[in-house]
Amino acid sequence: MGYVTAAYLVVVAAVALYWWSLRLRIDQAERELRADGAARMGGAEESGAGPGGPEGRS
Amino acid sequence: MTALYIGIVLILAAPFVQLLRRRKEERDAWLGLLALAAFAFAIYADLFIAGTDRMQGVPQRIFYVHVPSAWIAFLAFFLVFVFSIRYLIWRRESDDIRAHACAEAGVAFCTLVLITGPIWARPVWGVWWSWDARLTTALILWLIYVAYLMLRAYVDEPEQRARFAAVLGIVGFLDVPIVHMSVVWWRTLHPGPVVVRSGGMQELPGTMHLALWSSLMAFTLMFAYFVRRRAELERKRGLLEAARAAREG
Repeated sequence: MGYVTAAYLVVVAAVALYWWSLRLRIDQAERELRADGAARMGGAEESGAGPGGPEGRS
Repeated sequence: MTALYIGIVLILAAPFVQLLRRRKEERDAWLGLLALAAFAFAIYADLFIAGTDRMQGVPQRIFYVHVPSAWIAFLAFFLVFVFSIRYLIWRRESDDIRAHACAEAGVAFCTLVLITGPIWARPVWGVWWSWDARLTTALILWLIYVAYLMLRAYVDEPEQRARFAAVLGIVGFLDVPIVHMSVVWWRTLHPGPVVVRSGGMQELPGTMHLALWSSLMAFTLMFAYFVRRRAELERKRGLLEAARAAREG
């Protein structure tokens, strides 16, 4: 029974770990996308090309 | 018994059809829950419903996770092969993303095959590992797709990365039929085909069939869920890469 328990524990642990690693990586990519978007908005506003700048108003 | 299989398939298929009407994020969440429920049922069926094998005893129950893992790994590598060919013909990024997602999930399932196999071999053969044809070709298969993932990680230029990976994805698939046929072509410690033989389906007892097919269904749902999530991750990374390239260029 010990071998069967070990095999099933390995399978459950592997599935949980892979699911968790995917979730972490997707969260990380979303955070980086949001940070990148915010940086671009900041850069555009500094150069006057953002929604609040002269081009945005015209 | 057949009516029971059809009933289980219909019960699992009904919410799956409903999923198609929902938004992508919702669909993924429901697919994940469905896979989890199927996995829980499969473990219950494997450990408590299936009868104990007269020859091997309790360790034979490892069969219900070992064999579906191998089938799903083969399916994953076949899909890598198909999406790689599609990429080389049409050069669509979506095919490259799908091939990558299938390869990673395939490596995960192939890893399970290589771990559960020795755990099963120890009580039945008396050794953890034997360098026979089936085990060696399966290990080579795993190494090929680990190399595929490493190649993708080391090439920076996206178009070149996708092209190189597609070629490896096609060539690497040649090992899958060799792994499958190894037990027929060479004398091996590993048993030959047990479930599907050239003469048709072997007569396994009903409860063993139930355990095997419920495991296969659960692993298929998990594979679909993992591939969708992995593809979503790759799309997000692609967006990020493109945004950074546009800012630097």
